[in-house]
Amino acid sequence: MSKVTVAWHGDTVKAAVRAAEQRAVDAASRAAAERARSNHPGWKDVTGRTSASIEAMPSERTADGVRGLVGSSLPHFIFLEIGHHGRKGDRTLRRAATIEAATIGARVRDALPADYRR
Amino acid sequence: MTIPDPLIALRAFIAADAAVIVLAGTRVFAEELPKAEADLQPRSTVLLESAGGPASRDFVRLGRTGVDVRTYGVTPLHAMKLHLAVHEALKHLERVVQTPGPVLLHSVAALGGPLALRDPDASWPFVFRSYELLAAEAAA
Repeated sequence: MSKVTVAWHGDTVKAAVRAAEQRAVDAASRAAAERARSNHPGWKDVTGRTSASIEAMPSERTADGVRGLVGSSLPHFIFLEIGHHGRKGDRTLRRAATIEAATIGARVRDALPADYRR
Repeated sequence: MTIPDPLIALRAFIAADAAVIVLAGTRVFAEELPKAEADLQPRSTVLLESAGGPASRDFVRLGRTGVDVRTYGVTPLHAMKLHLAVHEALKHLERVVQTPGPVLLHSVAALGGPLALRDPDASWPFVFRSYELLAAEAAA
C-alpha cells in the first residue's frame, strides 16, 4: 500500500481570498462614491457641499462576506436619494453602487496574488 | 406582444392583501401619488416606485427590479402598522401569477430595514423600505 502526503494550504488560500475580497469591495466603494459625486442629474450642487459629503466607509466583514458602505454625512441627503412630495428621488447612491457592484468580481481577481490567478 | 409591467402586477398583489385592505382600502399606487390622493394626505396609503436594479447579462426572461415602498399614515405609528402589513404580504409572495399581465412574480426580498421618516416639505409621516422583486419578463 502506498502513502501520499498532502500539504494543505487551504487556510492560506482562504486568507488570501478574504483579503482580496476586502480590497475589492473597498475599491468598488471608493469608485461608487466618486461616481455618485459626479453623476446626480436629479439635483444641483451649487456650493459643492452636498457632493463632497458623499464618501465611502471602510468595508466590514460579515458572516457571509464583505459589506461596503457608501453614503452621505448630510441628514437631508436621504430625500435627494429617495425623493419627497412633488420631487422624484435621484437614486444617486443606489445607481452608483449598482454599477460598481458589477465590477467586484473582476476586482477580486485583480486583487489576488499573481500565482492565484492562473 | 405585450410586455408586462412587474411593478403594476406587484401593486395589484399588495392591493389584494386582506390586511392592507383593512388599513388602506384601495389606496395602493405605483410610481407617484395621484394629485387627488396627494391633496388628501396624510392618510394610510401605499406607494411603490421603481428603483433600478442589478445588471443583467443573459437572455433569461427573468428580471430583478428594485422597488421602493412607502407607506404613509396619519401618524408615524399608522405608517409603520401599514408598512408591517405590506412587508408581511411581500414576505409570503412566492411564485404567484398576477394580473395585470398576467406575469409570474417569483419572490420579493427586503434589501434593508424600514426607515420611519417625515416628508421634509409636507410633513407627512411615512415608512420607507427597499425591496428587490424577481419576476418574469414575459407574460405568463
